[in-house]
Amino acid sequence: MTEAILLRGRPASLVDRSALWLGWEADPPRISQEERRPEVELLCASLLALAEADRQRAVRTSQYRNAALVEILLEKSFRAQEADPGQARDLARLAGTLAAQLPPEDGSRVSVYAARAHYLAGNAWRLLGDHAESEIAFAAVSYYFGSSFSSLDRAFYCRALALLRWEQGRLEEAEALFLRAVHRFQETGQKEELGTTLALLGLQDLEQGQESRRHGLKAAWLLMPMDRRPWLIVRVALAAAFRVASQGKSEDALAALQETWRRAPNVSAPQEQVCMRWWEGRVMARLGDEGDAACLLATARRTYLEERLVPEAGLASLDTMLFLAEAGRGSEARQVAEELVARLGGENGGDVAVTAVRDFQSDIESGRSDLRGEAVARASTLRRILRYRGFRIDPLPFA
Amino acid sequence: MRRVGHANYAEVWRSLETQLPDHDRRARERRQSAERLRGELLAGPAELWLGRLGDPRYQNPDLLEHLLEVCHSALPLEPIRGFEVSEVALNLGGLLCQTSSDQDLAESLCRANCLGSHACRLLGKHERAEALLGSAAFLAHNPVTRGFFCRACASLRWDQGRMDEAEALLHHAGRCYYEVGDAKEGAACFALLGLLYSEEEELSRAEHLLRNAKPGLDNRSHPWLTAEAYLALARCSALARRKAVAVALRQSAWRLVTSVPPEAVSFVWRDAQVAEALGDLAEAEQRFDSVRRKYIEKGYLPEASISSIHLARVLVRLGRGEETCDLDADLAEAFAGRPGLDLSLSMLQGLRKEAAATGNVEEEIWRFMPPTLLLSYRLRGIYSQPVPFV
Repeated sequence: MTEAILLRGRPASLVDRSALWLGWEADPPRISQEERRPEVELLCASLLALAEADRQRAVRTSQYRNAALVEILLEKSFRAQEADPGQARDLARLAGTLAAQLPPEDGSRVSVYAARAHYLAGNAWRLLGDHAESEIAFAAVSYYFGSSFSSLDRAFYCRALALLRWEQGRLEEAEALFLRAVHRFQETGQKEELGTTLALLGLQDLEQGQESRRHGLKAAWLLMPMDRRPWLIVRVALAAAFRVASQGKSEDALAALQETWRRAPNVSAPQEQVCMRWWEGRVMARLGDEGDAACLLATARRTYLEERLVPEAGLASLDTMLFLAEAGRGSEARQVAEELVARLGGENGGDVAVTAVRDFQSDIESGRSDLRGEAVARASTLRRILRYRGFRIDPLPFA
Repeated sequence: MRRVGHANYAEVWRSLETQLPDHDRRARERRQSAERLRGELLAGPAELWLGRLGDPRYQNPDLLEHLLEVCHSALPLEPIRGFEVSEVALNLGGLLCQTSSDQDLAESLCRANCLGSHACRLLGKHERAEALLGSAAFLAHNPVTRGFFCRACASLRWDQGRMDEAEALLHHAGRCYYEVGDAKEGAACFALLGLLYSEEEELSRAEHLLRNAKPGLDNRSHPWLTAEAYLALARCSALARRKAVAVALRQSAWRLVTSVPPEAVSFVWRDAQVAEALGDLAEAEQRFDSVRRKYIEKGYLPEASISSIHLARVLVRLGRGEETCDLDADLAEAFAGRPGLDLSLSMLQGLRKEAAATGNVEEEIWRFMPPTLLLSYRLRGIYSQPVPFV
């Protein structure tokens, strides 16, 4: 009965529960026929060695109609997501094509493979910055989710889609999806994934200036795996430091910073290094450490100006101006604004960044009392408009 | 201290009593003026409406609010009118934005986009609905508008069959409304979620949500939704062997029937499912058959197929499995050449073979057949009728 449906429409009501997404979280990852791995790895290598056109022909031959090969391709795609999203996308598509060729006796697995292939392709497209393709791939995932897909499958899917929505600036949908992922991870007892999702939710809240919201970074910290995604650990520690520093809890903020410094060597990506300096500068500014704050914020801001990253340069400029105003050096804020105008005013999106810093400069010069609130509002507007125009702002290298 | 509080409160109340009539009068005048303007603006064919907006008389925020009300009340039954009015509201909002950066204006524009999106999805124009929501996403700030946006977005996702997103958004919409104490709209979101879970046959989740929603449901503002939610809860209760509760809920639903539009075949369909769950197979047969015929008449293949599966199940339970052949024949005749017909026929034939071979069909297979069939349709780009709630 189920096969009859699969042959025509593909989604299955009865899928093989041994093929859990959880396998991907294991290290080393498992496939459902682990004993066949050496043999299938060879088959995979021979397929990947073919030129693109030959490969497309080859996947339609019986030699490669093999469920274990599909699983290995999906696994490789998963592993390549962060380091080489282009390759991850190609592997996921190849796995999807191959899954569609599987013989009827493998039918019950096809929808699982197809869902995973689209999910991985969607995430890879997001990492590559192509939101439209990512959207298409993610939209297809739900059509392969039969009723017996577990909460875990759905949790991973909701989280990955939430990240896309976040990057698109559709924050309400992102929050809804993160909260659903939290619920699903709770249902399945996945504490580490729950912690990771809470961390992402906390970072999203903080980006919107909602420091008092209930989604706790502290709870996230206690649950998150400490040996994976070092950049996320560091960002969470810095966000926690910023939050407690804003509440005037200097000792707690310093403790969180020390945690950051301890973890920092694990973060190698240059863009994450800059992001770390930026956040550290913000924390130091809240702690009143004028020297360090000035130096760290200037380093980040200059890097973004040099790399012509308009949104990040605008946001770092706003933070620097706020720091200068709070340090009683409001007159220097004008130079920061003017530097941005001179260097990025003519760039795509530069008009938005220029408006944000100039408006904030007026706030400073007119002696507005709630400069922190104004800075958050200006940053939020800048992010919103630029994301609406299709900019990727401070993208998350999450996979 | 308490006495002082009372005294202050009394003073506030006295002050309100003196000022309220004046406020009330002004609000009434503004409303009457907006209604008059709307009458003039929307006079004649819709093609003329947009051109009139250049007249400064119409560039009025009260008129914008009133247009949103008109648009909302046109949905779901008059989607074309709803869309046309939403277009006027969006254009008017755009003009007002040129002279004001009022936050309320952004919220109104968000609602206009959301209503336009509802109208488009009710007309089956998913891409246009998506684009309108893409704009609305950046305009929602206060919890009520955020809730409204999330519900609109969830409805589109539900129509598209993207159930996990729809589920997440309805949960979030409910939270947004409850955050500001709007129990009525919060309950409407949870009722919708209960209906979504019912469609997915996740009955324990459905029952939980529907039961939580029940006290807050308002049968004046949402009579159709309330009636369907009662029936869905009645089915869950009947399947959980709480027959008395199910019967009472069914009666409550039927008391609302005069407020349910005659177009709502889904109401009778849901009632047939309750009858079946209560074991009244003769009544269930008659109702499923009537629903099936209506859907065939309207040319709705997915609905006609699923109601045929429901009827087939009743016939098998009545020991008349051989009659299910007629169901295939009816579908084949009514939908000859339509994409997706092969899926429906193979599903019905598969069920018949299973019933002939084993004397029965497993309950699990019956239950998950409709959502599986819907998924299969959607994979081919064939969609069932849109969610009729706004």
